[in-house]
Amino acid sequence: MIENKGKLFYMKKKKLILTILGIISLAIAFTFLFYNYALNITQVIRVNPGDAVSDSTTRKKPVVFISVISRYPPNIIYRGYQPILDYLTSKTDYRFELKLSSDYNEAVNMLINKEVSAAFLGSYVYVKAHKEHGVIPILKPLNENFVPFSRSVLFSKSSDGVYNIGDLKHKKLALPSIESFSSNWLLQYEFPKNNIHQKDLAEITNFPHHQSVILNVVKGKYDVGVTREYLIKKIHDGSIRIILYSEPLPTSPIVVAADYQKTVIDALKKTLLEINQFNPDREKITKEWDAEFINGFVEARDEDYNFVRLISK
Amino acid sequence: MNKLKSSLKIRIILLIGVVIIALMLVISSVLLIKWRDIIIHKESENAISITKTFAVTVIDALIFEESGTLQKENILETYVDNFINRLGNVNYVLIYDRDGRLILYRFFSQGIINSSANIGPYFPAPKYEEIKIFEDATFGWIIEANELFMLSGKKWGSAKIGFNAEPILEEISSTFFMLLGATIFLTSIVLLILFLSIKRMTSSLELLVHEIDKIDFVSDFKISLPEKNDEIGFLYNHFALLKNRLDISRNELEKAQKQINQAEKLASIGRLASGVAHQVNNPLNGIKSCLYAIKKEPDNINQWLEYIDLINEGIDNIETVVKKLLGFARQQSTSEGVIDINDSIVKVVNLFDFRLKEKNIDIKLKLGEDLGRVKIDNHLFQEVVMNLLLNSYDAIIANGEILITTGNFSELFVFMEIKDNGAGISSENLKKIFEPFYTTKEIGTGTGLGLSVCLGIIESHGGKIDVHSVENIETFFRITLPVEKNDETVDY
Repeated sequence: MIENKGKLFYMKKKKLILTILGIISLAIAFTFLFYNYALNITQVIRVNPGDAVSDSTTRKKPVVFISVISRYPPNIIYRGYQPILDYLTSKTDYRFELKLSSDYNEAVNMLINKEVSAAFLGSYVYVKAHKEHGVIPILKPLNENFVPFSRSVLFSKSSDGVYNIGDLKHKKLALPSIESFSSNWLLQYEFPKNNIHQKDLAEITNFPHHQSVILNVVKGKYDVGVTREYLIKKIHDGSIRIILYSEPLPTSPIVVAADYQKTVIDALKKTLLEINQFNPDREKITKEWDAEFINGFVEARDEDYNFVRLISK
Repeated sequence: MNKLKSSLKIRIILLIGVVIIALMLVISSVLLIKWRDIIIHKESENAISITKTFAVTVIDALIFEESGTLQKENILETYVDNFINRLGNVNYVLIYDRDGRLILYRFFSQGIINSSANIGPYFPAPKYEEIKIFEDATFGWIIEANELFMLSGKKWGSAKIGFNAEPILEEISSTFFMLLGATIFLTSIVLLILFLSIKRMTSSLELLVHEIDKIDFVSDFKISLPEKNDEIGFLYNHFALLKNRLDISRNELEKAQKQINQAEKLASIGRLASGVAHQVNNPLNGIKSCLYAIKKEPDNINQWLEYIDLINEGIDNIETVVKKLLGFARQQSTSEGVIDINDSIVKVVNLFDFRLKEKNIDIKLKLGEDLGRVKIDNHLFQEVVMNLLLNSYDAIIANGEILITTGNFSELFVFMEIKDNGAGISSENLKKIFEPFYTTKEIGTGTGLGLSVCLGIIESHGGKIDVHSVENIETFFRITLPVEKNDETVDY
């Protein structure tokens, strides 16, 4: 009896030890397997899986090239203008492609040479091209007040002691392209009006792009600069002081050759004219567009640019 | 007791231990997986951010190239080399044009930029913007960011950038071991606390069981348990109350038992009364005859002397019978002593002798010699013998035989057997004969308590009663009682 009890106790003890060993073994096995599982980090994560990437260049539509005068660096032009062309592609039967120009005149030449069907030109360049090649404006953008006017501005850093155009003597002046309205407005219109001569200034430099003008003045390399008002308005930190505004002038037109392809240009006009203050989706559509065009378009006529012609003389 | 205690402890610790270990493993596993996902997500976001930033410059370079402003190869190569050198954790960069052709690649291994490897078609241009994490035979674990150079709707090209993912594994591994350590530590702490708590709890229970073991239901032992305010204290209090109730019940039971014993004894006496009356009546008739003869011959001195002796003898006989009867019937307080059961049996048989002769029942005693002494109240034992003899007497209609045998069963037990050749007991009734108030006798001849009382008396003295019966042939009862080692015989 006692022997049986001892045997039973021994068996129970053995069972207990086996149970504990079993639990420990299970825990170790689980830990080992889990460690291997945790360290296997193989995976594929799709970035923005909901947004299908659509490459407009792959669409099977007739290609329509549009050129832009090089008022901005190419990358800035692409970022501001490609969304406009994508919108046109999505709304018409054509695939619109940008064709960059290395200077202001090349954009006009491409238009004349039929390399492009339309061109975003500056007011001054347009007036010149109209006179020389008979190009015609079809659309012009609206400003934030939904009127098709813009202004050029003379500006300096707030910290500099330039408060009016009379303070420009012995200052370094940064200008955009010599083919731009802004340059010609100051040099051809405001300087004579205020009896300022170019030789009175320490330095006058023309930069290829408006951004370069702003950057050089902000960095202090130049005392004053001239550019478009809407570009200056992007700088909200108070570091810029506007010294002088131009008269309101018609905004930069989209221009076509005199013998333009009517179906294509009509489609372009129709699509862009739908972007105006009455379009509820305007902000959504133009979110990534160049700031000059986010308020929509109206039709343009040649006589709208008479004031520019006056300055050009 | 010890086994029960350890078993309880181990069972609780095992059960809760397994649950805690399982819970800790699950919690740690979930934490690690979450942590791992966060690390991977963070590193993926990092890779995406770097690649997006990288893409901006590459797109600009491609645009400038298209506009004819810059030579793409120069600016791209310079930028990519700077990019790899500056970041330090880039294993490779591959740049494709918009048609999916590889236009530039750099492999960075052991601080050396290699662009001469013949990679051929092994690295096709990516189709989606995605992060791939995989183990590469050359570079080990890699986070590969696939980027499409999209500017609005225009695709300018694409790139694959392979970042070193080994630090992720190291971070996950260190997190794993940190959590494992924490799990083992916390589990050990919890199990230790659990063990100490259970040990404390079982020691209280052990004390309670120890006190329970002291209760013998005979003595008036008072339990002494420490004051406690917890559940164990609650158990202690209720156990004390239970003990009190048991004491009260035990006292009441003893009282009832005594009453039953007495009632049964009186019933037995009643049944003996006719025999006893005859035993008294015979000497009385002798005395009456003697007195009549003396009255008739008052001067016969010799007759006087002879008859006075006879009268004295008759009175002595009556006195003996009455003494026996009184001795049996008198209610005496229980006083246990060590007795010789043979003496008790003989006394009962003597008392019963006349009644047996009435039915011409031959009673034989086969009493063993050198019987072990038994510790039992003599009156209670006589009552048992009386009850069994009465049952045998009732079972025999006439001319029967009763055999009483005693002996040593071993050194530890003595036995007494009462065997008769009466009517016997059916096997069906045999199961019920020890039940209280069960009787097969006619109303008024039996209380139904006799055998029940006998069983109670014998079992309360550590003995047992066995019965065997064959209907109409024989019945015998065997009583076994333990022998008292320290025998100090008491005469009654």
